[in-house]
Amino acid sequence: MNRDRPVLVLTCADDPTSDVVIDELNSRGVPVVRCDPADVLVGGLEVSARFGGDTPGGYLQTESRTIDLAAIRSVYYRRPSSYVAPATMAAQDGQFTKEQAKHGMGGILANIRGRWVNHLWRAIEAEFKPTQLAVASEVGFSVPATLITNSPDEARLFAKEHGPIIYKPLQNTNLTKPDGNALMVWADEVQPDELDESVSLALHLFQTRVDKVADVRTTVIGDQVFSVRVQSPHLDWRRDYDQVTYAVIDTPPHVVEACHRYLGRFGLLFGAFDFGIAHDGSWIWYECNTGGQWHWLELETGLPMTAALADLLEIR
Amino acid sequence: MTTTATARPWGVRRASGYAQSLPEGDLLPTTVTVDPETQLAIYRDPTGQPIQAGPPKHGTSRAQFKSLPTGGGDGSRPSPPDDTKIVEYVPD
Repeated sequence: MNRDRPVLVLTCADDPTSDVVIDELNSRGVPVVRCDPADVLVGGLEVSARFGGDTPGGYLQTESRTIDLAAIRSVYYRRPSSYVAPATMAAQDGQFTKEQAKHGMGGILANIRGRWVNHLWRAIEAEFKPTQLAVASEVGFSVPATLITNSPDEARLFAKEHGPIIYKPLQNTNLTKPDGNALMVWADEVQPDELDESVSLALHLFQTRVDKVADVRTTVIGDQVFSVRVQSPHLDWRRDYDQVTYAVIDTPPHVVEACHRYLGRFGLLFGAFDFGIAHDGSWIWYECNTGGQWHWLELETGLPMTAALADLLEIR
Repeated sequence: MTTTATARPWGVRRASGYAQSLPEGDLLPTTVTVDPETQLAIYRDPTGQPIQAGPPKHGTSRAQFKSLPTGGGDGSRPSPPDDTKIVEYVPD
């Protein structure tokens, strides 16, 4: 019965990672429907869902496909667009419309039965760094001492007790320079004298700097675990991909087990874990991104990650 | 009431740019649509010609799609490799 059921890929049009997965599913003859939920705000998506009564159920109709909400094989929740109010509407009307879209689509989609990679609500919980930190400790990862605070005094004390320390944001936002170029707040070392009263203006995450020899990105796709050693001159290797070198490495069994326990705790099937390798060879947990990128690592190393993800969505 | 933006939290003042440079502007696609048959993206240049966008070289679509008006969250310039939109659903 699964044979005819499509995989629903929830993502924006501009998402090359989804293209790779869809291409693989196409080659396997697995039907796919690609849908950007935010299209509901621009007329590109018709939605109908009934609850209660005699005929619960519903459909999504994109510009090219219609999908029965009750007959979905699996869902790949990748990178949907943000809900944006239609420009033709006055500000208040737009805000109203956007919230209707967000709350309507969120609930309708989350009700879809079938395998999710990853389920919308489960992924949200796992997106919060303080929750990640607590669960990571509980499942047995080695977690660096971390402080989240808006107290300058607490920050200074932490730097004294646990220095050298780094700062990284609890969540990234879109930041741009006046010329329009993107800015990022990178994970970077903090000198104690840099801490001032403006720490009180936001919550800040400080962490002991791991004395590492390299970083590792471990991508867990269902039962499969792919670890790549990432060598970069920067503390935060995302700063310059051109200076990064990659090597496939084995994942220690206790790390594999902890990864599965971690994802199990959240109810997730996919996770991109970041670790640092300490001088003694131990793996220090940094964070886990439930929507993390992975395909570039396949290109760099040849690890069969697309196939693993397609297996998960095809439900072999 | 007008507010003068003088309060800058400590963390945001640490923002800085990317090391890698942007690609040439004339190679950039301007629109992206979904092929009805394959459900794959089709990128087009300013003249409407499809471009082979290719798979992402790095963690994200990188700077490839600078001029896309609706770049899906990371359309314009290098962006965090791990960005997702799920926090959109956090209850207010």
